[in-house]
Amino acid sequence: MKTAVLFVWLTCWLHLAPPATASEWHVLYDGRDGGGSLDGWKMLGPGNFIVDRDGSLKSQGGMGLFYYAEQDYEDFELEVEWKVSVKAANSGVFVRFPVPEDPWDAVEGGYEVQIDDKSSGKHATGGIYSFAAPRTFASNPPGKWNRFLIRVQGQQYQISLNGKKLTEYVGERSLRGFVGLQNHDPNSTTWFRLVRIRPLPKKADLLTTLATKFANTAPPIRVLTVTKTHGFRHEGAIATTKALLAELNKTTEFEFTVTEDLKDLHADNLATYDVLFLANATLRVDEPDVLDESVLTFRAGDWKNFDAVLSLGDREIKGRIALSGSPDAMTGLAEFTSGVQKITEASLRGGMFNLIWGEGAGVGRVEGRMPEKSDGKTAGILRAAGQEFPILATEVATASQRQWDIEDPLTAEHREAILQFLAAGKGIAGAHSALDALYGWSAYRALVGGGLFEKHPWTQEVRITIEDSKNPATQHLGQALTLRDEIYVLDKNPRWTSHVLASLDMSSVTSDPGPADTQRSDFPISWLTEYNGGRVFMTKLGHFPDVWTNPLFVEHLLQGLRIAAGRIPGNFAIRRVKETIIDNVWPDDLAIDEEGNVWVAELRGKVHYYDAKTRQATHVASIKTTDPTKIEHGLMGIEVDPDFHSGSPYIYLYYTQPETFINTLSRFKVVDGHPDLTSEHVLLRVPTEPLCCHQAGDLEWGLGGRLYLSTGDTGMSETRPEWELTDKRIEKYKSVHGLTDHHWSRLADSERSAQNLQDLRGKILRINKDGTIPPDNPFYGQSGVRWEVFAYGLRNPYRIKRHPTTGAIWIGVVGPDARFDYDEYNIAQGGENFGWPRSIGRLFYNDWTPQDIPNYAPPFWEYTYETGGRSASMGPIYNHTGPNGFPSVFKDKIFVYDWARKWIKWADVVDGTFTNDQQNSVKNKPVNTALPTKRIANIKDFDVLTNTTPISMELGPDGALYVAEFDGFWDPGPNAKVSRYRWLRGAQARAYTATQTALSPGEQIYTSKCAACHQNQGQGVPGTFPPLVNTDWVTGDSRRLVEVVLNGLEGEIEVNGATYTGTMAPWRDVLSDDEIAKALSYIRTAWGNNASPISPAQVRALR
Amino acid sequence: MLRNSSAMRHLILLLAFVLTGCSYTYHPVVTSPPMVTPEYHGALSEHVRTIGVMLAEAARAVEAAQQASNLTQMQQAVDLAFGQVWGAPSGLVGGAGGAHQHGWKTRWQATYSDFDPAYAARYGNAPPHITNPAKLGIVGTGRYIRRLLAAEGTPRTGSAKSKFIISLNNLIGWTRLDDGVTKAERQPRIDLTYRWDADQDFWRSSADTGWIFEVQAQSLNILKSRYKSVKDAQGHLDDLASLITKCLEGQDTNNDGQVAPVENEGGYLTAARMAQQAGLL
Repeated sequence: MKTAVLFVWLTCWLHLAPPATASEWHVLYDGRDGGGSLDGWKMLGPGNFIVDRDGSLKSQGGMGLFYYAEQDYEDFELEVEWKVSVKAANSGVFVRFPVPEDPWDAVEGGYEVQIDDKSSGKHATGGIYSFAAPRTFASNPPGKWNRFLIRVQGQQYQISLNGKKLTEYVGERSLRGFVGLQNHDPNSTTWFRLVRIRPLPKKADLLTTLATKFANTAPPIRVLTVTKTHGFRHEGAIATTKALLAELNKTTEFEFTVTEDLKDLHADNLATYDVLFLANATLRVDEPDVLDESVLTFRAGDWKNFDAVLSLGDREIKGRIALSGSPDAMTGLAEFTSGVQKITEASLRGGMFNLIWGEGAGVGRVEGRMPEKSDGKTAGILRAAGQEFPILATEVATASQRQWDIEDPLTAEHREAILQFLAAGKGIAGAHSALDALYGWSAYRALVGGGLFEKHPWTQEVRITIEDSKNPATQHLGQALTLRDEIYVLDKNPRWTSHVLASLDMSSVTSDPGPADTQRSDFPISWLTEYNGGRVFMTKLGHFPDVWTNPLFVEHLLQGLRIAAGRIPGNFAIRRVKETIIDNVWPDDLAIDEEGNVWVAELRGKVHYYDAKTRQATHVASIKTTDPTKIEHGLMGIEVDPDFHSGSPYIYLYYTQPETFINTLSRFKVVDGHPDLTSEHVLLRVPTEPLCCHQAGDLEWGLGGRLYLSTGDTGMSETRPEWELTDKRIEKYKSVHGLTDHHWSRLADSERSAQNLQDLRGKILRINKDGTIPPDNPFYGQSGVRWEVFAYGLRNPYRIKRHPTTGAIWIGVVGPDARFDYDEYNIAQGGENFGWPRSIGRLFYNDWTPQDIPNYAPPFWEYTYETGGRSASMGPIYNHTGPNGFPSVFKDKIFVYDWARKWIKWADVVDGTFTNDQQNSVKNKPVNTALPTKRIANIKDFDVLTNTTPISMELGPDGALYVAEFDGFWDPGPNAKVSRYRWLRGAQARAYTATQTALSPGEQIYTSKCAACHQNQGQGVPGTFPPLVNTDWVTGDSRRLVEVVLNGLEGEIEVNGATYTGTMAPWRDVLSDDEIAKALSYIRTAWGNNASPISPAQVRALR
Repeated sequence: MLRNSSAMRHLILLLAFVLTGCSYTYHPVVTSPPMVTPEYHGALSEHVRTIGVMLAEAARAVEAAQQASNLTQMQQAVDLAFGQVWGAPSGLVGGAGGAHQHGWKTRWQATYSDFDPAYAARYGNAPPHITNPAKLGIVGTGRYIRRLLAAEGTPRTGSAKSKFIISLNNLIGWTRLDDGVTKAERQPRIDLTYRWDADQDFWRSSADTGWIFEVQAQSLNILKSRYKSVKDAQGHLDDLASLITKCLEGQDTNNDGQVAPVENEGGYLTAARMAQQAGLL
């Protein structure tokens, strides 16, 4: 019944007849030059509007509604001019509300375009009150007129203010209604004038539009659409989808067959289609209704179960929670009134847990503290229905865990048929919960791009950035699409195996520019990929029914289906690969010459050369330097002359001279592939002390052949409190300077280096190739300071990079290791003071303020100590434009990385505002600083290294990203290497994918012949088909195993303490000796098994 | 500030007057007996005078540089001024690149074995290459004087000796050698932290790290710049002369008409006056 209603609604909606002609502006109230007619206007509620002396309408009192009652409107453009008395004035323009009996009818039945310059988010001027936030602030100052242009067409709302497009919103309320003005309150005097409206010709209905665009004369595209679900069913969306597809069958080139029966996925049937479309086909396990421990399989020690009591005011709900995994990757179950539900979001940090389970109205969320002891009862909080309730959780000491392997609803035959369908050059498409499916089938994970559903943190209006605006599936969307949907986070990012068409604009879901930890922040929305010879189009969209009636989405989907069918070109075969190019090195810094050869410096003085043509690395020199142990001196930086292969065969090393502890920048001539150490020409000497740490030491070529060097403050932050920092002295200091406390970091000694312009430490230095000083340096000519200084006030600017076009030096600065301190990233254009040790990141220490720091420049990004160490490092700004580079979405993106946290990220840098940290200020009156500057945005994960850490990064002339991966600390670790990220396309990508995804012969035989009974992961089926994992039947006597396969097995057997009574057929007449040997060798080494292989001869001997 | 040659000559004459043992126009009155032994007194006074001589040499060298007829002469003269700071030439005359610098042990007259035993194991325990303070220029001599005085203990606040040290510190920097534990090792510290609660004016000045390093920086700048003629460098040489003058005269930072023996004011002449008051000169 519900489906039928939806169908009727959809059909009506799609076929509403459009008005034939466009209209002229109809002035509802002029208000200029002395006034205008108020005919047709009505006032409701408190307050009033009066005609002011200039003729404009002036609000009084409130909250009331002044609306044009003569006519309601459907699609229109409404223009309104307004001004306010003060910035805090609140008012608004209502659209599409029903005949009102009360001012609140406009609020609740229509939409209010908000006027409130003091508010933010969805309550800010130009937003749709409570529904959509404006992109920016565009109001004129109080007393100045503003002009709204409100465009309403179908459910699409667009708001512009003073010519700036502020808000786009897909609504869901009435498609027609009245327009009106709000008088909000006596303190919010607002004037209106030139209220005029222009009805819009109704957009051609969706089906007519689609019929026009997709009614080719080519043979029909036959699409088998699967809407079967195991798990959560998007009933509304599926019903709308079915109605849509039925209509499209009548008018477009598509022939959709919709099925709820997975049996249709057999080879013969699939062969009659061009595309297999999984439309919200959630294909998860059928979950039991109750948590019956008798049917659970446990892995001892992995799980913790908790009896939980939700105290909901006057009643209690008893239930249980089961958790498994690490704090960073946790899963679990919750069982309360709604039966067993998978926990979709879980985290555990410092004993605090945060759990979310369920869907829709049944969603549950629990925050609390884990009991430290099994008998401890600790209060937590249940948040529900906008209220908070206490929760008591008690760990159940005796319980273990539930097995979470997902039952696979597809048979082996289905899987094989789908793979063959792809191999035949056909296509697969998937929408929304097609990504919440088939977890047990590795091929499915691979074919959808590598990632499957993990959680859905955002159910709201989102902005989607179009990454490929030339692709047929996205070219109609322009630069961005805004709509309301539920956005999935997948457990792996499909970007690395797919061509991404669109991705989530994170600024539309959070005001935070991005986390600094390893949390993923890159969420592709739609993408193309290729698998097993077939084409795949996937989109995360489609949760809500109205998405399936949004013409922008539907066109996106249909074009995606066309691409998957091979009717129009896509861009499928593309993937990122990471290769180790040099191992057996302990890289500290990298340099790449113009021919792509890589030079590697080791901290203890070795220099290596990687020949890009021969792909061979050679140890070419060892410079005598200081033992770096516990001080960080040594060979710190390497660069190669930009004209190395055209007359300047030099490399440049920054190293510590032994004995003297003078950090030295020298040039060496390379002869016969080896740096001639006797040719040393010292360019710069930086005296230091033999103490830890902060040496920095990165080299970078600037525009015009200038050489930049980053130097650390080489200071030690430790103070001697027993000597100088007596309580009495500290108290006096605090009293004199109006401090509530003191920051010890400010007490550090770097004033003598980082803030001392006679000293070269804590700086960015800039010299000519021969060591002379460029006269265009920022301090050149200033008396008594070192003219090599380009920027200063830096603690440990460990890695720097030149912007390829502006020439500015971008800096990653490692800050102090304290909880409230920061690492930071800076941009130096010449002469900046970045504040250290008077400030770091957003923090201004003790009595210092920005005004006290000459030439102060704020960072463009900073992050705190948070959960552990950090080492902000600057990577390249990606500007390669050759054919083998990264996808175009990376153009002009910056790369940043962190040695301590192991991540590599990419991001934008945009105009923004720096604000200081007042929370951790120790000043009685914290400084409130807001400085316009460049700020980071759209931070996305690129990779997180596992057993190494990124320590240097270069962009090669081939467009690849080269990374020095450090391992060890003062001495080399076993995993250190130099690696390279690059993108493969076309045949290269296909070949690579084939090598990565090809099943071994044994696995292929197992998958096609055995997995149907013993399951993909060898876990078996309780009572019927025994498991193959960790059982002596498989890993023990090879003779017994071979005989079982050859001869079959009947009757009751016991495996791992459980009884099985299934029947296994003999395979002697089906499989050859070689095939049996391969299959058995596979299962004896798969899934953690570790037994010797079986040879064909062994099989033959027993046949 | 003295920005011309005749003024500089006048200053040097004045300085010579002090260095020959005659009391200067300030006519300090020694009201208390010397607190050091006669032998010690003699050695220390000699070093105090040596600093004055070296400053005078630097001033003469800059004057010569200003009057040089070619770039090489100019560079040689500036290199002489540079050499007074640490007692060694830059090595940059007629060339380009990194200037000569003393190693850490020589600058601080310490050995690695003075600290953690692990230090000696890693870096050896050889003594500094140069130990004679007379060969270590103004900075080395000044630090030697401080070590001599430190052997007596901390002078009374407000005493002439204390004021002498303050003015000497303005000249050669307030940094001192200390130690602390890092990475489980007792490592050296070049310490300014003991002045952590000084006024911001102190930190923003160049007195915290020593005015003489401005002379060193300016000399290096000139030696590392590509000039077409001496005339091109004239402004930079004038600045260098002014920096040496500041080292000699100090500066009236608070604009009260006096150069007092306080931080960021007293220079060499003030130090010498306080040394006389303390019976050290």
